[in-house]
Amino acid sequence: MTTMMTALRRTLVSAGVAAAAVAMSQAAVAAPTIGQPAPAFTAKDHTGQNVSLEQFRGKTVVIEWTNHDCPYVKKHYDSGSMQALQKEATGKGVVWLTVVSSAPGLQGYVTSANADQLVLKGRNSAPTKLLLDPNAALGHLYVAKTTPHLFIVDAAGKLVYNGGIDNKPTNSQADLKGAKNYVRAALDDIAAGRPVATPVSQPYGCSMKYAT
Amino acid sequence: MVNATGKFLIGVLLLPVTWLAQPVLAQTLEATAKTDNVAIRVLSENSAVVPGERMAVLLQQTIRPHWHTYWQNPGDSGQPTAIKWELPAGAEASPIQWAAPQRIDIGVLTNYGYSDQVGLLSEISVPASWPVGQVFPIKGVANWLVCDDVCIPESVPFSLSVPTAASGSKAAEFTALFAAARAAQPTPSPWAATVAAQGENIVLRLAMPVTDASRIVEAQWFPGVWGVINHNAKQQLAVADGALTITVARGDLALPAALDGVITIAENTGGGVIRTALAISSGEPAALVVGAPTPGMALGMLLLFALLGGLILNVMPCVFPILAMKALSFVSHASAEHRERVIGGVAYTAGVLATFALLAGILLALKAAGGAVGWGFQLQNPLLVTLLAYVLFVAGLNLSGVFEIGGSFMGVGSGLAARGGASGSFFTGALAAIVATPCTAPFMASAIGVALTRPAPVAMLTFLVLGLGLALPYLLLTLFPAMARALPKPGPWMNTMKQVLAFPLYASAAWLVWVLAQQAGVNSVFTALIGMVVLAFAFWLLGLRSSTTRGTLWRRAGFAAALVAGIGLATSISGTPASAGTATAASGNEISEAFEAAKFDSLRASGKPVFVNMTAAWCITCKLNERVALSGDAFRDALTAGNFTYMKGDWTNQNPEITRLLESFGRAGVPLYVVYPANGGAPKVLPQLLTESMVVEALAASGTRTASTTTS
Repeated sequence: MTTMMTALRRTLVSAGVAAAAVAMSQAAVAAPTIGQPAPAFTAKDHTGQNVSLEQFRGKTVVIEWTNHDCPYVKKHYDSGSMQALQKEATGKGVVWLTVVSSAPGLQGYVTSANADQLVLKGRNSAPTKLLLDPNAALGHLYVAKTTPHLFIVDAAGKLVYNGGIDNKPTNSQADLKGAKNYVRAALDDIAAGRPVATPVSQPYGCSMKYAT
Repeated sequence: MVNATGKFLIGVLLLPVTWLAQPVLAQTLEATAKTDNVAIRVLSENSAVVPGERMAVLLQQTIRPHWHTYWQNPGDSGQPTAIKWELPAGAEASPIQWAAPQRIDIGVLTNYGYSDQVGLLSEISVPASWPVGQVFPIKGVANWLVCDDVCIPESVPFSLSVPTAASGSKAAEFTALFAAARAAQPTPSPWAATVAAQGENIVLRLAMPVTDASRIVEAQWFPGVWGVINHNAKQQLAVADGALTITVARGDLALPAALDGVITIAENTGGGVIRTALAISSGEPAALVVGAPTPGMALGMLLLFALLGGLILNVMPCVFPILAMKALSFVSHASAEHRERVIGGVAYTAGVLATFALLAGILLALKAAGGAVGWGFQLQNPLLVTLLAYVLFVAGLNLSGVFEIGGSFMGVGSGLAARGGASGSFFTGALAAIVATPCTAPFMASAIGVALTRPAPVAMLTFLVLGLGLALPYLLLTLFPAMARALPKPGPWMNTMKQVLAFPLYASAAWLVWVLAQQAGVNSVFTALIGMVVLAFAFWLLGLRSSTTRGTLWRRAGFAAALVAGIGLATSISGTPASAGTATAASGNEISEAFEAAKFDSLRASGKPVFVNMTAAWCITCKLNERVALSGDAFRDALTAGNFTYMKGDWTNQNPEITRLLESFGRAGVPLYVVYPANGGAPKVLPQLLTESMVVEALAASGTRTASTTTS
């Protein structure tokens, strides 16, 4: 009897495996996927001009979400390390898009009028473009979770990095020393024609201040 | 309420920290501090510690309403609380022993953390070389991020001085706080957990003996590390076949080989909801699907897998005999018109599809209504299980040659399927689909659960293609006569084959009876088996040949009566209240005896102490308590030392004596634990969530020995 049941079960198990394959599903999640075309967008920059991802095809594009009042963002801006990376990258022809998705009334919200003072010159930052996304269309398109949260799109328009700025998820400037900067490493990989060694990491920082 | 400017300032400025700590004394067992958002107490469990031993330190955070601090995996944003210790050389601090977290949804983001108040324990090892009598300093800086709609990192130093002595002692005033902090930690799960990737989903399976889905109000899985699951996605709960499964969209990283985490479960016990947290750790993930999931896998791919799954159903032990006989009918009716055959094949396919559509429709409707269901839900009803066992058994009798209907197999106990022509084929298809489900249910449960996470139209289409796969071999046989011609020539082998095919059906029926035993206990098995004997008699009567009309009439009357009796027996099984549970609950453990009111009353009358445990097979909290608190040596020793009689009441089938006792304590459900002290003292009710030490202490305080010392 036991043998019989075992045999029966075995047959059933093999069917179960096949059935599991049946249930294999593809997610309808809109989250951008590494190796797939990065979601296309057109957004307004802080001067009111349209900026599209498509217009930078052929160049490496860094997309950085920021909130100038977030202590984690301040860690990287007060120390000057984010601006240094930005300068290094744009100097090599990389496009750097800084995005602000904080909703009106919430922390980090900026307007055309005060963007220069709060996000650009005021903190000695000079991205290729500053995109204002108060309705969070871009934030939701990329499922940006924290500030900072960074994405890299390669020259072919494919997403090659999604994650944090480095591997020390704290707000302390003391932790910058010895931290591995994933974005710099990814840009180096891309410049050298290598696949990005760490394409995904944990984005850390303040939660996005989306309107709820 | 802080306005936007205020928030800006809070974000920009480091908050002043107010020290409320006492001046430095020889002994400091408590340090307190307060920021604008969090008040902390740091407490030493020991009032004196022995060098070379370990002691616990509690960091208690009282968090501003609506603000949160974070767990080890903070979820989509945030940062876990951390303590930077400054300890004398040779001393070491453990990582934080986390309290079970809460899920905090903020729009499209989800965090894991704490609100209001949380106690975080750490263990400090005091070096053996530390001079006895000299206070041991414990210093550190507690760091945390606290967020509402803004996030503020805070950092507070603290300092304790704990006396050292040759023998240790605990600070009595903190006992309750430490006990509460330990109670808030997850209990190591007594049940194994596995985590597997299934396409774009991750499936957690906890092998817990749960049979009644309706008791689980909520279950939430917290993976210990970031990137495993999509924190913001809905976690789909399914309860079936002795396991609880949670299916959730995958995260950004690949599944690690080993994974720790916490699962919180809210169980409705009838008298209220009990929340438990289990610490789980899975080993190597059992990959159910070979090959990397292709992001954005086409619907066509999914349907192809469904088709393959359906094809495989054809060789299931409960389906194959039926189909084989159907196919053999070609051999014997080789002369049948091609057109007739095609009609038969199409009708059969329609029968399969209609049945799958019906089953899937019921499933989707139940799911839409908020029920936690999986494939095989029909197997959760003992009556249906029994009837399916009957159908398979009678089909087996038919193949064994006990009876025949019109010389063809197609009867299978169902008059509808016995009809010739298109309608007969339709109902054979329906029958094949129905008998396919019990065979597959235990193994398809979680997989189908995953399919159910898809939108309803996709799920329905998947089920239909699964059905098409089941119907396809027969359909092809009817459409292409050339294939039928490849079948072997008719002959006496057909009869042998037919009889051989009866045995898989008997095996399937036997398995269903085993399923029934899980649900409705040993007595139901006897009832079901007697029902089968009666059915066997009924169909044997049917199969007898009578020479007279009167004989035939009697035979048919006898058949009808026995059939009704057999099915009547089945309904008596479902008529038993509380359909789940095995009878082992009361008899499996030699240290306990079954609760009987008369025995209990006489024990009490003679002044003997009694420990009562009211449990049920479907009660998860009961099972958890029995595993973690009521099976260890300390518990057994405490029973023996106190001279307790341990009575266990199994309420799986709503015993009225137990119900009365529950009601006397104002309870509408199990678990209930009561310590009845020696010499008729007032009974002490224990909490519904037990720890071993809690039970041992309660027993020690009420046993015979204690009672005699206090009275002497």
